[in-house]
Amino acid sequence: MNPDRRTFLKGAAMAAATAAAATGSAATPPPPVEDIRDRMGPGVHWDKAPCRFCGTGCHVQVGTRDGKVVAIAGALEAEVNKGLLCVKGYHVGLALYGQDRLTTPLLRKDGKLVPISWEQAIGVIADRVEMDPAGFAFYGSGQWTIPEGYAAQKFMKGGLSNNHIDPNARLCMASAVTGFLAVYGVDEPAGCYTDLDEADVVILWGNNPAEMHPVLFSRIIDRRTRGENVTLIDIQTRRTRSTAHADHYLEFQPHGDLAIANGILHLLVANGTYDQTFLDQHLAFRKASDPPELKGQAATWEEFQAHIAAYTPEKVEELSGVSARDIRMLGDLFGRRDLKITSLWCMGMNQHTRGTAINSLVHAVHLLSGHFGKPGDAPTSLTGQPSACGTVREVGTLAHALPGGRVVANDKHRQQSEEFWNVPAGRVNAKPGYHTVKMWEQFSKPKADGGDIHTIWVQVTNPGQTLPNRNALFDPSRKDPDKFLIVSDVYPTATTVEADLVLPSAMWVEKNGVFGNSERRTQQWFRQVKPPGQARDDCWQTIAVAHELFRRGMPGMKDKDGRFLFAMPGDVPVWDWNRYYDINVDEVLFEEYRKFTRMKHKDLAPYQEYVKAYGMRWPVVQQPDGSWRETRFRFSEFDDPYVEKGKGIQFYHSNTEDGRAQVWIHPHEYPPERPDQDYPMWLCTGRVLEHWHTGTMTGRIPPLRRAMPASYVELNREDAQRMGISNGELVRVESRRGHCDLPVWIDGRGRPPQGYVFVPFFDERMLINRVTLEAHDPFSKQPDYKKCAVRVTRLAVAGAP
Amino acid sequence: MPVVGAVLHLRPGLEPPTELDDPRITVGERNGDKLPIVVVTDHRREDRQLLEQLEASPHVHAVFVAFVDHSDLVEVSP
Repeated sequence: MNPDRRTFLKGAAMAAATAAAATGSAATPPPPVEDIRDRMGPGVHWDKAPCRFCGTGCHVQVGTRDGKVVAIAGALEAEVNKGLLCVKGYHVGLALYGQDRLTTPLLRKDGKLVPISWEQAIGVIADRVEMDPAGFAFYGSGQWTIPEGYAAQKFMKGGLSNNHIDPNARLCMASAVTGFLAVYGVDEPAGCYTDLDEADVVILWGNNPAEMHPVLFSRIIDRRTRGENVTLIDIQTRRTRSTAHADHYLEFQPHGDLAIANGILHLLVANGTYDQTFLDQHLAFRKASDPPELKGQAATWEEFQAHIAAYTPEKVEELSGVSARDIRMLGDLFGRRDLKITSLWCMGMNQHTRGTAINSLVHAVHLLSGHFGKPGDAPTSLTGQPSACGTVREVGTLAHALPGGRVVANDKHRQQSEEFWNVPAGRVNAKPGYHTVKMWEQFSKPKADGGDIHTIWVQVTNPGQTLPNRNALFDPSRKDPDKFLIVSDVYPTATTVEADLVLPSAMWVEKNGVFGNSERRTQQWFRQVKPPGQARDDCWQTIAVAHELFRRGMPGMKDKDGRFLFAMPGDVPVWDWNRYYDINVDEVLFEEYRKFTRMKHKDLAPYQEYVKAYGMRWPVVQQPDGSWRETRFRFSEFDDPYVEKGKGIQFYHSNTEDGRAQVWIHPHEYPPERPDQDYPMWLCTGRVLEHWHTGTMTGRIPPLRRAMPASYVELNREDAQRMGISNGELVRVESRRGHCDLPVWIDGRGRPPQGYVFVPFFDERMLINRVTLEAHDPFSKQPDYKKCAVRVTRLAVAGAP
Repeated sequence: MPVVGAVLHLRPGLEPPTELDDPRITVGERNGDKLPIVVVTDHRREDRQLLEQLEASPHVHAVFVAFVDHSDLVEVSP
């Protein structure tokens, strides 16, 4: 690098860092953004994009030159991250440049993947659909952009009359969805990240934001450095990096979170510190129905009181392991009106066989105590994927759902969807499709035994690494010649290596996109560089297959007027890759999808408004002057335009249709599998700071791979000493379903208690999901990756006869 | 040659860490408890190691990145 260029870059780097350090400082405002970018010198083009990785939704500025991403800067204009990036965001540009990008379609012939043309690949998929449309399934992702997910949704439900479409988000946040639906009648948090700037107390319910959402966590910790008093309470099953910042660490036994929440409710009632006015005006009670349904049945205040009477602090200590004194501390905090309390959670409460129940109970704690609806007073779930909210929850790419909060089982919702799609009445199938676990069960089961899914098309995800109990849900299909697995991805993965057809995909700023983050913020970006080789957009792949079926005469690929399901303005033939970017397909699909968003008051602005903004939080409502206004706090009159004047708080999608939220009765129960004599330890799985989920992108980034090169099992020091196991020694972690061999990390980043081990799932060489359990929540169908019974043995011993 | 702009979030009341006395690090103007720095290293693994060292300092509670130049990795000279 020549000295002039280095000087340029140093200037740009210092200007960006100085500006980021100055955000939020009234004394020293940041320098103009243009100054920083100009310092990079001529020839670098800058444009915005949300980060590719987690659900926080940080914005980056992407610097491109000569068709490559050459620089990344935190977007100072973005309210989410104010110019800062975590270690993954810092490397996001390099995720495009791994040496083994998939660049050509590959078809398995005689056991080997061999290159074929795109025309052949599209034809193969069309053949599989035509063979038996009802046995074709689509497995998508919370990393699908909104237009990608919408296209897949329309192709399946509006085209094939087939509801077997489900996303990997079923594995990560489905219980948050059912929790919101059961309590408020509508999905997604009422609050937003501003709550983190306003809360006096932040409670972490089984999540570790210091590693998983570091930029959000910094907003809390930053306030302390400014001299503000923020109490952080860490309720966990093991010590993590977040624990190091906590004022109180409450370690609970797996599944004990339900007892803790019930214990707080008990104290609010016993001490008379619940919010009587909020209860009278805004709440109703609910209990389980028979047969079980998400909406349950009405309960009374007296029934609720009788239920929680048993959850005394001493009883909760017995059930959860958290001391009665700490339960009282929590009860006292929620009983105070002078504090603002925000609860945060993520996978710990969602990957839970009682996920809907614990989500509902944490909402109940906030509602009954009145800690709701004011900045800083909020129960807020966080997501792990960049568009789990935007694409899965809002577009509804779930087996039972339709866009905009609709469901296939509702006659009116199907009729509305058919009208928006201009397809014949009756096109949308009323029967929900297979949820993720069921879909893969049916794919792994032989046809003769009722396994009626013959083909799955996977886009933007890696089920070979993430499905629980892989030995049962994934491997059997790979030995069955009737089953056909199609995978669209950017790198070879644990799934592509087993696939019958592999399609090379464009990623992130190699294509246009729209994501929706954890705080209802919709974020748009444009393609900034071209994908390598023959890699193409996932959305194009879906449209190209749809068009091939249309060309062959499949009726479902036509609308009521006989036009192609994805006909574009001006009849631009976007199924021809050379013409795909002649029109902004994302904008066309987004505007079509936008019609769906009003029913549940998830209103989106026109696409072009997002082009100008660093995201906007829905509902986004047009003002008399023609401008578009986002909503930060839903259900609160001071900010939500859909709350009637004078109501203060109004739950306008209430399940009881009376403006009330539901406080649920949910007892503590033990999980379906617990340690016993043969498998005496708990296993919890999860993520690490350096790698994003299965590591297929971050594993290609040398500094991240070097920082965290391989998986491990965290083992308690006393357990290790008792078993004679040393740090770094290889052990076998084994359940009733399978095993995984890993090196031991004692006193590492996480510190599990005795009888408990933790294994991250990012490493495809050590597939911990051969060990996990596919048992799932009855409502959300989300599996529990956080607890099952295992034994740990030294490998030499494990391998001995 | 990797060039990274970062922000150190210092622990309240503490001075910047002594690890900043490194010729590869240029220190900017402190703003409250935030300190902008630029790290210029010969190899990418060095910048990561340096940032990790800084984050491990008891004077620092977090390090966030504000700018990174990737051109040395993605633009291969003929």
